[in-house]
Amino acid sequence: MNRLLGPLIGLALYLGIVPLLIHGSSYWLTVFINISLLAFTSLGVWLTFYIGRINIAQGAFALIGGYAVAVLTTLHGWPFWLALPMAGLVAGLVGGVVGSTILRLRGVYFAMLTLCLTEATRLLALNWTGVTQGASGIIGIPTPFGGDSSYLQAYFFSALLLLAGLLAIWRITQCRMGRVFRALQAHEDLAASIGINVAQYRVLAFSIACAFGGLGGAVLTVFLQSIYPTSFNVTNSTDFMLYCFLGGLQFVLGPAVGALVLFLGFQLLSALGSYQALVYAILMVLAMLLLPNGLLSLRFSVRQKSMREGQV
Amino acid sequence: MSLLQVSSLSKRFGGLQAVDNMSFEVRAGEILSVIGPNGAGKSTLFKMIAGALKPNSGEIYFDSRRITGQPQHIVAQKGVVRTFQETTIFREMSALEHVVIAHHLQATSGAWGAFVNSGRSRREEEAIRQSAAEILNYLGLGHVQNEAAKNLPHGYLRALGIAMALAAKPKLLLLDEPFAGMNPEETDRAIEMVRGICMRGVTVLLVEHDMRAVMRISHRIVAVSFGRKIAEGSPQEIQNNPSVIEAYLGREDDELGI
Amino acid sequence: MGLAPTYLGSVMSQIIVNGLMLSATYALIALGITLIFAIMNVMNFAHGQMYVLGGFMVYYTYGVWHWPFALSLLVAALVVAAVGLILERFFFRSVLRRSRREESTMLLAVGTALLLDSLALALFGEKQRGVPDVVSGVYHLAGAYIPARRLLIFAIAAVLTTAFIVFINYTRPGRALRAIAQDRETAALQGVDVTRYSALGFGLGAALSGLAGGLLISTDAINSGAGNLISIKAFIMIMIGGAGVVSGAIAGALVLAFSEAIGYYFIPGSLPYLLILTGLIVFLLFRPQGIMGRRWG
Repeated sequence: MNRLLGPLIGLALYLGIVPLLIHGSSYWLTVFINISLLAFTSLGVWLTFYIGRINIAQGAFALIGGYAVAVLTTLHGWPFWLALPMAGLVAGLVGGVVGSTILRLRGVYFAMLTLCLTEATRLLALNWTGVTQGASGIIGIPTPFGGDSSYLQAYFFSALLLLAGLLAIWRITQCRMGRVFRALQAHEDLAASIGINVAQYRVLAFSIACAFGGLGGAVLTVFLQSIYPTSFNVTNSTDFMLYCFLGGLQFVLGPAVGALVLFLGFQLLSALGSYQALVYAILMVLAMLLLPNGLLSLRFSVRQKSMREGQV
Repeated sequence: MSLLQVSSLSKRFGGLQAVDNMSFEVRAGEILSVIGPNGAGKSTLFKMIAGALKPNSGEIYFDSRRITGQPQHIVAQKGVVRTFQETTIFREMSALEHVVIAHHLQATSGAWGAFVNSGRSRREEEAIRQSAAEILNYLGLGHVQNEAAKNLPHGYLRALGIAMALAAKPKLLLLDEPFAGMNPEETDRAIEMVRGICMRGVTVLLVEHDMRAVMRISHRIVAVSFGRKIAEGSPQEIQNNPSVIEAYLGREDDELGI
Repeated sequence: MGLAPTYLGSVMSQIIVNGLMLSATYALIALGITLIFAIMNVMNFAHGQMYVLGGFMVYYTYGVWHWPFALSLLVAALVVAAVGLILERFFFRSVLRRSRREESTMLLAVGTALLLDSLALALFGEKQRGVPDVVSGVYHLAGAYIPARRLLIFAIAAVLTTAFIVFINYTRPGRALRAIAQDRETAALQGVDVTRYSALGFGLGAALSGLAGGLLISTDAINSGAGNLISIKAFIMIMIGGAGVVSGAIAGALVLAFSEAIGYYFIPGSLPYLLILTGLIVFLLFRPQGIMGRRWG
């Protein structure tokens, strides 16, 4: 029960206290909606790390999900609640097809190729004008959130989506599938020798990861009510990856903590004007150098230390 | 009663003929060793049988079914399971977790059931855990089952590798140099372990360098040199075979175990 | 009808000229990133940002302050090399010492890319920048037009590429770098000062990227946000050629430069790059290690 206490407090804070404090400010609600959705999208990247692959393609799948929801709702008149799961499905399927080829690569090769994939998807969106309307993008996407409380509705929806995502990923890590994924991360050949279908499982993990990207991208798109080929780009892909790294790859909560701290940090630095990005980058590199295992490792090392001291 | 049949198997790497037209069979219930000097093509042969490497030509039959060139996990499903040398482990995981994962083929409840933690999946998990603990106890690893594999000494890791292979319920166990680098007492214990596994009805094919152990443990031996089979027979016959002696001539005497 | 062969011929020669002109500069980019990868096992995600930095050095020294072009190229190389040395000394060296995991160095490389990106934005602004022609005039060869400025850039890049290959193959430090690329531990046992030469390799790799930026700004304009795109080009080249291999870098540069030359000649806009990236994925299916395999030297 003790293990659940921390997450439960966090949950209460996020669903109760935060909206209570900021419900009057559409700016801060927007910030937290973004944090929830970026964290949700990053969970997919985290899952790819879990099978031992560095994924810089999540921007591409967010873009695919975004276009899927935009096309389905604006051009085909689908309701949002139907278009959203479809967007996740489309991204997951595309991820499965692409993954079955590129997942043979490892290490920096996979990382480089996924980065190229993000760029290729942008170019595809730009050139496939029949579907995406090219550079002019798709605008006027209907939103399911309306009325005076639309920001608050979006806040709760995003927060609940993030919680559902965290729960799903946590369950994956706890069940047999997670064990297989950990085995893939540690040694693919050894995993194959005991009868694990390595190719199938890594495609499964990657598809789930891409579906997360598609869902996150779709909700972000609907929230912004527009999408362009540059809506999710290489920078976003690297951001998703950095959230995971800086939060901590050993922890399911890593991407959420990373997204919260980094995105919030960036907003808080806005007083610096044109130096905002620079100071942010400097702080981030410092964090990488000082906390190579992520922010959450700090909490754990403090606890371990105090336990050791307690024993003396 | 042949369990595994290797016929005219060949593998080339560039200009090097690693395995050259090799044929032999493993009979059900026996311990067969493939011996030969370093670079004789033992590991290549081993990898081809396990499905980790595709042969250029030739066939492999297991239980009268063709397994030539099939991927590792399919070969494992059919009952041919290999061990690795001891450095190949899931470093961060505990010994118990290694063996639990190795029960992968025994898990029958669906992925969804596992995801939502259904009653059936929970019962199955419990049974797998039990079985993993039993295997570890049988191989004398019970007391280190919660230790991370990266902290275990080499001798334990080799036993852990065998524990994993056993968990996959093999009909044919492929052992990669199980006695390499062991002192005499360790070798004695390892020989007993392999014999015990064979008694439980698992056929064993091992490739090995350490002749002393091989002579003691094997029912039959296949000797290879430069990718070719040069002799086959009982340990006695191999020890007295002129071409085997010739293949080892000029090498250190102790390799022959005489 | 009688015109067709001549027309075809001139199209061909124009494409060949364009591809060749571009390939020499691309080779500098690819050689730089492959050198760093071979020596440090670090994939330099900031390679494109170093290119941008080099480009802006030439923009200020040559374009704004009117220094001689050769001098401003030298300054660009030195400044970017210095940045590379600083990054190696204060970022990568300590992380490499602490951990051999690919993830940690890659994370840092991505972080430095972000840092250099925002630094470039803060220092140089958002504007697209170009410089006046170094030489003017157009040559006409076998039906192809060759602007003199492109020819000059090509000549300089070709000389630098050749110089680099000679340096790596026939000089003492070059041999030391190759030894480190082959096997760090063995090189150290043979008495190579691995720490110093790693720094040298990193600085040199960075300088090559900076030089490429300094050269190409005189034909193509540059802006502070171009870094990631150049990095992607660098990745494409070494994935095609095989990372960590000198000949692979050259092969990758040739393939990319000619693909661009052909693509842009026939198809306008951004479609050629989509085709190139798709082609890359298909190619890697069949040859994941690239044309020249993985070992270096």
